[in-house]
Amino acid sequence: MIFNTYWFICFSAVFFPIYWFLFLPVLRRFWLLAGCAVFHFHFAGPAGVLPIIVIGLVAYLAGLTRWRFLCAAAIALSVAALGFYKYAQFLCVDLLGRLFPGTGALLERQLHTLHPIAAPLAISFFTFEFVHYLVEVYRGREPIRRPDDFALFAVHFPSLVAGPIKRYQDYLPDLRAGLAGVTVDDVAAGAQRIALGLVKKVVLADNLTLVINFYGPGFAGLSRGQAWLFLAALAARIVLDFSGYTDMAIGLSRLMGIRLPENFNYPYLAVSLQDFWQRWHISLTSWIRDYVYIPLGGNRHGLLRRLANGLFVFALCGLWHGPAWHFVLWGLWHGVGLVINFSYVTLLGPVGRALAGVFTRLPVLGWALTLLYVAFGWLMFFYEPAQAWAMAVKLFAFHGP
Amino acid sequence: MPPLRLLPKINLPVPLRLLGRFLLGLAIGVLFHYMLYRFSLPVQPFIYVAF
Amino acid sequence: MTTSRLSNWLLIAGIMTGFCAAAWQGNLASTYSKPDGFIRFHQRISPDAIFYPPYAMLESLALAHWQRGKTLVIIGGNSIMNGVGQPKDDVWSLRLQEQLGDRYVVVNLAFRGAYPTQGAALVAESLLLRGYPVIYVANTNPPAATGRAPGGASGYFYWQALYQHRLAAFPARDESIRRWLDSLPATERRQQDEERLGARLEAWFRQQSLWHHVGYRHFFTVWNFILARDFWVPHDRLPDTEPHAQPLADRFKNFLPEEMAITRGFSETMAVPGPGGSWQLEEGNRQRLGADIEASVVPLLRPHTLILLNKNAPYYLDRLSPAERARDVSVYAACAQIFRDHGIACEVAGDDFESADYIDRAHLSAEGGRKLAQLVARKLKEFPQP
Repeated sequence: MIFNTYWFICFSAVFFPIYWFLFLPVLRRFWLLAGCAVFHFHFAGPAGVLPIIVIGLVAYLAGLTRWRFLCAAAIALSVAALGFYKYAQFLCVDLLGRLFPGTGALLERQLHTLHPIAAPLAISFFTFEFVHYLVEVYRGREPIRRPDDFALFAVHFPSLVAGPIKRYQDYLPDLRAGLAGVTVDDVAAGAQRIALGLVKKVVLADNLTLVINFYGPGFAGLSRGQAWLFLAALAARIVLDFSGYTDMAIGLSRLMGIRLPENFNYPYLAVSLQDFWQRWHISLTSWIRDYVYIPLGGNRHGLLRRLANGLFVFALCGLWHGPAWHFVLWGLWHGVGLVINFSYVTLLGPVGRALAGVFTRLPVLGWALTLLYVAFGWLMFFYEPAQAWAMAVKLFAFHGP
Repeated sequence: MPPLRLLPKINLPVPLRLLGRFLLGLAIGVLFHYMLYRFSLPVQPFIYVAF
Repeated sequence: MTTSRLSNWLLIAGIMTGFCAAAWQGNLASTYSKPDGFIRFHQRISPDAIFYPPYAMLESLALAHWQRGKTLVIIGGNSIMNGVGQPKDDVWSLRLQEQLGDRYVVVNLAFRGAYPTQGAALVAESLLLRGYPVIYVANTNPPAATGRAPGGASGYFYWQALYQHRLAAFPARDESIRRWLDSLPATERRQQDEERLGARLEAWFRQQSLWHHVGYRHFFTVWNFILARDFWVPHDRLPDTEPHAQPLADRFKNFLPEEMAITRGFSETMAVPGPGGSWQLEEGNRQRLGADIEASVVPLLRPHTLILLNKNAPYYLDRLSPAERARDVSVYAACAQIFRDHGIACEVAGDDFESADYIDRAHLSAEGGRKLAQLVARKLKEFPQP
């Protein structure tokens, strides 16, 4: 939902023309702020808005003081809120409940009395942006002084729900430029981008979703060719759906003269897994690199540590997508793939170097392997491990239909 | 990494380019109307909104 | 102005022109778009196949059938009235047309799962309001009663008719719908709000009218499992493929416990024991049905309406205990009387039907359709000529 709703169409029909014809930046600023508040309140409701206001206020005030201790405490609060709303059930039932059944049951009972039915809308994306802001201030960067600047950074409505994850040092100059003047070039570029996103999402991805929802439950009965087509549809659907969303977010923002970071760069043309992650959900990958991977030591402490860090951040990346084991497995699948990608030349010695030579001379080989690896990853992403395994076995089984 | 250009840029005469832009606009306008119809059908949520 | 800027102005002008041109075409399509050789909205041109005919199409169909000096019989209600179970040449409404003769024209606008107050009822209301001679025939059953104009797969007709100003002023309906909307859980309320907004936009831009017309005549763009590989095929090329009924020996075999529970449910919660082993309609249900009629059937339409209360197949009724059978009979009779008390003609359909008249618990075979047509024709001829 969200962008593909009549409510949003009507909201846009009122919001954008007024934004364009308010010539004073200060008026535009308040109109945008009002638009963001209305959008957030409509889709998240009071129960979804209130926690974000509280966490945002804490992040803003902590940043303003520039005290490292307060920034660290605000980071902890943001992460704890994400954990509470999104992962409490998973931690209590799926993790602790399995290790210590008695404690797990007790915690689960407590949780039911405390826990709201649904997490606040887009809490993951809010957390990412607040953590980014606080870490940057912690590291010594200038904080955002104006509360309206901070509020706009936090609830900029095009990117509010599913990114791209913004960086405040890039967003604020773009915001000021957009408020100072929107050109017809911005509006034309924005409209084209929205149209592209709509084609990807509504015309292509939604039809693929209907196909996938219908054939998925009967996957075991598909012929081999149909099963491979199903896998292709699964892979195409997620990129079209998510990059379609991003195109719309970027286009809508551009209608206001505000540029958002790119999130995709033809990910299925990647020739290696490392290349894939530089093209897929770029704003998430760079966030994880800057705020998890590098603080953990990144590439600095030898091959073994680098590989361990890689595995850890990708398990975390998987878990971020949802509190379920199959997401963790998907993250680890990519983590292992990257570990192999990073290390095979060193570990395999001359064979590794020969292999690397083959991949350099025949990039199409790397492309095909990467695409296959990523596509199999989507089975884990969308299905429970046992079902994903059964699907993978069917795709490669030498017998059967 | 700069965005990839899959097709080489074609240099068309200015009037043709302007006509092309207008026609592209027409297509986008019709697409927006079509989207109003599609939103009336059972709508599929965006996958990443769930995260 | 630079060429680049001019080209962007032209793009925006193109977008506005394209959108307005599509809306204009949509407005035109809303006046003429309708299926050819129409008998009914069969499965491939119904919401089951993600084909949601706009309200304007229903009105266009009704008016296309009508001829001056004749009475228009509009059929509404659910799959039983749609003729599910009857191949296209044996649809009961064709038999009804034959029974009624030339003074009547029959148009079947029933949809699977629709209530008697949805879709076709709104067309009848709109045409009566504009002075057309209309009789409305629809069906229901005791627990379903009149239903509600919005809600469910056919609910969008109401919002479209409302915002296209086709409906009579009826404050009781407005109030009942407002109370219903207020009682909905947040997600369903949001869904209804979306449907309502879509209908408002349809009144201006006619997006559903245009793109259903394109889907019907040129190419369809939404995949669905009923058509699968042929989903894109223009729907005017898709025949009505409703199959013939299975041999009688093979019918009624599946889901017997579930179907028996449904059959019992038609009267189980509706009646309470009365004196001398009789049954009577429970007072709360009596009041609810009366209130539903008052709040959902527009007074203008009531004298022109025939409601049928469809009975379940004898195969299931015969398996009820004698007390349950007596309860079933008395509930049907009492509900029919409530409709009549509110000025609506009502008949129980199925009292003299046999197993061969049904293809399953509820739907009629071609034979059953013929009996239904006879019953309805007899009743309609009793109606005063409009």
